[in-house]
Amino acid sequence: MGMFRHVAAFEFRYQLRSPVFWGTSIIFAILAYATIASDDIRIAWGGQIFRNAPFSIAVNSMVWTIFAVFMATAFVSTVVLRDTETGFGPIIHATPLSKFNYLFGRFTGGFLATATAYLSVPLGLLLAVALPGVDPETVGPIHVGDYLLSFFLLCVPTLFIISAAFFSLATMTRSLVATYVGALVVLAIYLFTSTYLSRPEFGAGATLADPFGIASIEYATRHWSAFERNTLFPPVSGLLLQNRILWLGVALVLLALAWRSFARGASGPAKKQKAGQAALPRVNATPRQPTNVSIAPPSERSLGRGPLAALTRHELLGVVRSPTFLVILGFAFINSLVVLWLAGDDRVATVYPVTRVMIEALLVSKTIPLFVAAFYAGELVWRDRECRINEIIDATPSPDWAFLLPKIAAISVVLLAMGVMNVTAAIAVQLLKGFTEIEVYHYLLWYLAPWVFTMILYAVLAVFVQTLVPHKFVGLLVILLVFLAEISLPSMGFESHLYLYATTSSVPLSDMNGLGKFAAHAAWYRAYWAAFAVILALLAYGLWRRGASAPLVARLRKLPARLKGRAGWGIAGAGTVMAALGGFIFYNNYILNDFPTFNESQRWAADYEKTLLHYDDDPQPRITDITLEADIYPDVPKILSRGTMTIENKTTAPIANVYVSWPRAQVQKSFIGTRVTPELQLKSLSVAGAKLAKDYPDFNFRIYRFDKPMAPGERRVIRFEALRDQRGFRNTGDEERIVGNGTFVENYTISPSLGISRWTLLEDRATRRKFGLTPDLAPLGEAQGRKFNYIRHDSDPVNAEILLTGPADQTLLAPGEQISRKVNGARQSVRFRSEAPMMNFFSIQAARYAVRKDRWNDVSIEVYHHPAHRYNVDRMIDVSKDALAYYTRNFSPYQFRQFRIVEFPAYGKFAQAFPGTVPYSEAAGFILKIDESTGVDFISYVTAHELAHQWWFHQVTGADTPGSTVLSETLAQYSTLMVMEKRYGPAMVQRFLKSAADGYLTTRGKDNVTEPTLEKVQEQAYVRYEKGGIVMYLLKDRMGEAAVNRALRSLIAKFAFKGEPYATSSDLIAALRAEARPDQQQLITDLFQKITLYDLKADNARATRLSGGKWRVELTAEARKLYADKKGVEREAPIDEVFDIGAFEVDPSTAAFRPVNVIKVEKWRLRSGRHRIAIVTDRRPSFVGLDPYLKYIDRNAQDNITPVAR
Amino acid sequence: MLKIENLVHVYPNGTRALDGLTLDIPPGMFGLLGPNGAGKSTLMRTISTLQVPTSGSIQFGEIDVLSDPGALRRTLGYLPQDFGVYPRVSAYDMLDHLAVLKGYGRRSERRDVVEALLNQVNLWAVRDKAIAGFSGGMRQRFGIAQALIGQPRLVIVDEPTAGLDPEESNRFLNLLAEISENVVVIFSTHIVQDIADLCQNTAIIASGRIVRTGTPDDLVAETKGRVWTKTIEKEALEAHRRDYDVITTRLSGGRTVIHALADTDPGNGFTRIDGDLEDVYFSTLLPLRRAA
Repeated sequence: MGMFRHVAAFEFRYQLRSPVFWGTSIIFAILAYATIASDDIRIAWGGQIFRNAPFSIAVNSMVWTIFAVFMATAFVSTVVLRDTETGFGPIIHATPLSKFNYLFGRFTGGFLATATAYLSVPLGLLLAVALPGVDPETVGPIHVGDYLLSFFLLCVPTLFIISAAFFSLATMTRSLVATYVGALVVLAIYLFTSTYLSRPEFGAGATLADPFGIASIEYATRHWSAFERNTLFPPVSGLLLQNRILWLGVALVLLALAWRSFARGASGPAKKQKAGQAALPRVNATPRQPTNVSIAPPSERSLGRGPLAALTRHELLGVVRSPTFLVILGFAFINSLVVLWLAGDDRVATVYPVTRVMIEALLVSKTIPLFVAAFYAGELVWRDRECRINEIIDATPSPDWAFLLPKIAAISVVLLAMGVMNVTAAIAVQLLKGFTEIEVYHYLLWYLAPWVFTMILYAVLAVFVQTLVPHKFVGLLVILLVFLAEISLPSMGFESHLYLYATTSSVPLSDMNGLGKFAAHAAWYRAYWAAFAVILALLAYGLWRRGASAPLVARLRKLPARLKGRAGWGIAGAGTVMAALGGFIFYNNYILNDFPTFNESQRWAADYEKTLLHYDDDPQPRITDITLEADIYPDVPKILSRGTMTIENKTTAPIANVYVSWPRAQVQKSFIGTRVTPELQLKSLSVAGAKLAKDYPDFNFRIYRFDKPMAPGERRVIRFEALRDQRGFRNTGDEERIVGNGTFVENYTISPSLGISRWTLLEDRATRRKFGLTPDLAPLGEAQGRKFNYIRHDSDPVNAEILLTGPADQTLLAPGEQISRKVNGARQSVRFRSEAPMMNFFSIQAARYAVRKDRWNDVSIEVYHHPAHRYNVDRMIDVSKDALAYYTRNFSPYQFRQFRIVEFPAYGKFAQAFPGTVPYSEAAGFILKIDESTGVDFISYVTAHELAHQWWFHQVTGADTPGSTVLSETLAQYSTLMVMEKRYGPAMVQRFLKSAADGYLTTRGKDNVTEPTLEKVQEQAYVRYEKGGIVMYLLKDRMGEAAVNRALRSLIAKFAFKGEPYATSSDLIAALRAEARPDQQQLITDLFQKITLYDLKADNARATRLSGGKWRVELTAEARKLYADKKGVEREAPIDEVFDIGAFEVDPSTAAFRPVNVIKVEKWRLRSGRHRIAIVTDRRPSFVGLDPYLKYIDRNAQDNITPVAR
Repeated sequence: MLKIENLVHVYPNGTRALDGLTLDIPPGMFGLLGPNGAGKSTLMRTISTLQVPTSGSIQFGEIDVLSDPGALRRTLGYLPQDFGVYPRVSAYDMLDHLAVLKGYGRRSERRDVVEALLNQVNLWAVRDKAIAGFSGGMRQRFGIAQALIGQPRLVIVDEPTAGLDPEESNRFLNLLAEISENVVVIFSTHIVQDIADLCQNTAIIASGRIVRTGTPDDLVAETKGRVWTKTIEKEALEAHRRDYDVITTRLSGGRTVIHALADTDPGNGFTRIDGDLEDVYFSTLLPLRRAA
């Protein structure tokens, strides 16, 4: 034991002396610090969850173990390889040190070094909250114990597992490269479990595949509330424990294998050499030819193209012949296949594998190619030295570029090969899925060319870095840091592609619009970075290590001399090109277009609020009629708009001032992703009978004072002319709405509005505090809020006349009836008029569409789609008919004479309900592939949902008070579920609601603000959509469909098209209460006015045969009801509620379950506590359950069903 | 042909590997003799342009080596003391690759060169085998083959016979001898016999300086009549070292044969012998060893 301890201690001290140890520790501490201290990178904290919540500490300290893979390779893999490399091995092996002590002593030392270095992570996490600088409201009480607990319970086991794995791999293969590949495989396993196996349908078991245990801990805590995350340490039991035991077992097996395979004294390469030697023929000393063999000197003095090819071939063979490369390539191929196979699919929907989707999947998964670029740059740059042939090579007369250029060319060929392989994999996946509309041209132009180009830029960077650094490891680490910086800098506000190496403005893909102008914009950045890469390559040439290793400083000193001549001119030339391109890009990004960064937008929005919010209290006139002329130039891109707004003083007092505002360029992030508001330039603005009194040019806000105040009931006209356009190109926020084919703009983005814009205001609490605002943006009170709908304060339903002018070969669309169309050469003008007053909230679209028209009664159903996207058009029309039928029968007549579904490019992934019109993304339905038997028909879901908004938004519009989106979203959700139930039966609805329940329970713990009740919901999609759907379906189950629909009809009768006062959630609750029986009132309270969770459980089921062939089934049912407060603190309440008790042949929570497997479902009224229940069935059931279809929200839904014992 | 003047090389850790070394090397085989650490490899690497000296100058014919290393490389063949090879690469492919680097751009001329050299060094039969599996001798022959690519006028060979068995060593030296006409071949070693057999000229290097130069015969002539030998018991060695200028000791049949340097007969059982190059070498090193 003494010997063991000595070996381990020696190893540990040895590692501690290494600069790599300290460098790595410091870097990890900084990175861990940054993830907590930065406001922009939020992992496992944010909103209600403290930066130092136990949950945050646990997850954050575990996340870095993924990167500790590199630590383990550096510290543990090398402990055995070192002896082979230095040749010191035989000396060690000749000592009487036992194999066990040697191997595991070294391992223990290396592992301890890894663990010690990793202490920097909890330290960094702790420093982030202990040092001043972070918002104190986001920091909870500091418990050092949580950090220690995380380190010892969560991190150390993982570090042991990865250390053991890489140690064993290194011991068995004697190859550092093999351990690199091992590291890559481990990372891939992690990525696979976290992106694919983490889907709910795989359940808890699949998370065991994650060697880091992160998937298991996330699964175990997925339904945790903010309160739990702030107060509880994740349980190191159950799932996480199983995961740890499994992987510790794997680690121990690997260690045992390493011990077995380790033969003393044998060192891999030497053994091989002997074997090779034995196989050689014995060469006898035959008489040689005369000595004057004529060896001509080389005929050319400088290397031409021929040698470049030969040298590239040589470098390439060096890569391709190594087994490592085949492993990486095979691995990349499998990875691509998996990614491609799942491309575009999410947990509930699958898509047709159109080429665009394949390409997007390939573009996203770039970890392996980046690794290949960085890794082979290191290998090729250091190969001559590692093989100790550098002195021979360096003494040859070849110019330095002959070393550099072939290496870059070889890596490029390898990357190209990977790209071609990916395309092959993508086409194979398409064909395997039976999809034959393969667009090879798109693969080349959309994917291969730009992708390979970018990868080569990274390869050049990696070669350059490896030329600078003193060791390959250091080079890899530097490149890793560069990658991390490029990922995280944009979210910190450093987002210019002028300094983010090899990045370009985004090139979103769309079948409708192809590459649009985006690829041309990106090409400028590509050329700019290519020029920079040339400089890097020339500098690498100038700094190339030739001859005895010279430190960087010495090489830098010689650099000016080295760069004399062509290299210097090359740098000057490339520098000039780069400066010219950079200047041009700068001119486009910041002079022609001064588009704000996300951070600048936040600051601007804070200033906007501080300066203008007080104007929001002043009464303003309302818009009653509008005319709008929009000249659309898709290719410029620009829209020139002119129009009038008739305003009326609907108040009872005179109005002295009118406030006019129009959109300002802004970038916001919300639950639907990044929202870019383009600038609207106001060309002219006049208010009849008023003069400009005050102008806020920075905020696009003006105050006009009436010469004579507007009397109640008086009307005036506002005229405007405005321009929305883009000149040149932008760093971010390129115009994605006015495009060559697929223009889609909302009216409020091309015309002014009255009053301030509440949409621009900041909502996130932490952000608001950061900019000196009150933490919460106070909503309007009940009385004030009822005056306005929540979309536009300045308009009640309006009459509209819209004239669109645009290319003659496109279909131009606006709401209302088309009343005229004139073609004038290449342009056309189309006029639309609203048939009835409509929301002043509509869209204008233009593209080359194919059209399918149908009718339902006197409503024209029209689908405008990209000609290739015809897969689901019939289904959309069919569902529209079903939905129109259900809604008109149960709610009220449809108010328009047409219903239009209009496809728009995949730049957004949503559908939206405007008057009579639904813009529908090509990515949100047109390419969906529906499996009605096991999936959810999302075409029906989205179509029926948006159509339902024609009632639940466009007829009954919510007031601007908390909870009023229940009237639009929750009721649309209910309407949709009814349509789907009629079309497909309850099974599909149950599948849908099951995933909704999971979504609700998962999201509520992570919300940025406290969880509201349904009655007071604001932006929380998980409440108004997911919880809302479940709640309404349950109410329908309990009250009956007819009663619920009666309640909804009463709402329509009271509020539809009425304008002020607008409806609130209390109106809905009152309508439902009016229809509910007394014993259902409590349920309405629980569902709408409280956050209620149920805990339902069935067990101890037993079946006995009765005379007459029937079965008596007994089970124990237990029902609990918990009220959660807004932070998730729960309190049990007595329950008295009705539940389903069901008996089945097949477990209804499994995929194999079919409606025929239902034996019996009864309703039972249960109170708190455990109850023994008996039901009588015709057949013998295998399973019984309490609330088997999960109608109530239950955090632990697995125990609702129990098998029946004989 | 090769003029080295006042060459100084100081390593970053302060070691003065070359200390004002001056040397003039004519065409033909030139042997550089010196103990470990004398600066042989530093000198070889410096001449081979792999290392830039702290100061001094090197002139090869018309070429100023330090200001135009590229020009020297075009006419240089270099076989380092110790070299490795790429895994999985055959002798043929490796020579072909080096031929490209030495300027043979055209595939056909490269083929001629590589095949001729493989024949010359007798590796033709194993040309498709990976060099990683070669024996030491084969590897050194490959090394000389690569050094000869491109008709170099300066060939530098650093301790090539270390570790070779006598047969292989002999074969290798024959190869060297064949090429040395009209070419400067610098050949470093600490095995005196190799120099005596092969070299027209030789120099002895110690502590970064040249301490002797000349033809082997001239050098041997310098010690003529001054070398004395005696066979003694092991125990008497210390006393003899103290009393005489012992230059070499060697065991023979369990007793020790010593050579000592003296202008006149030291008596005490010493007999005169004809000194060889080895005696010259060690007598040259003697004062240095004393100083140490």
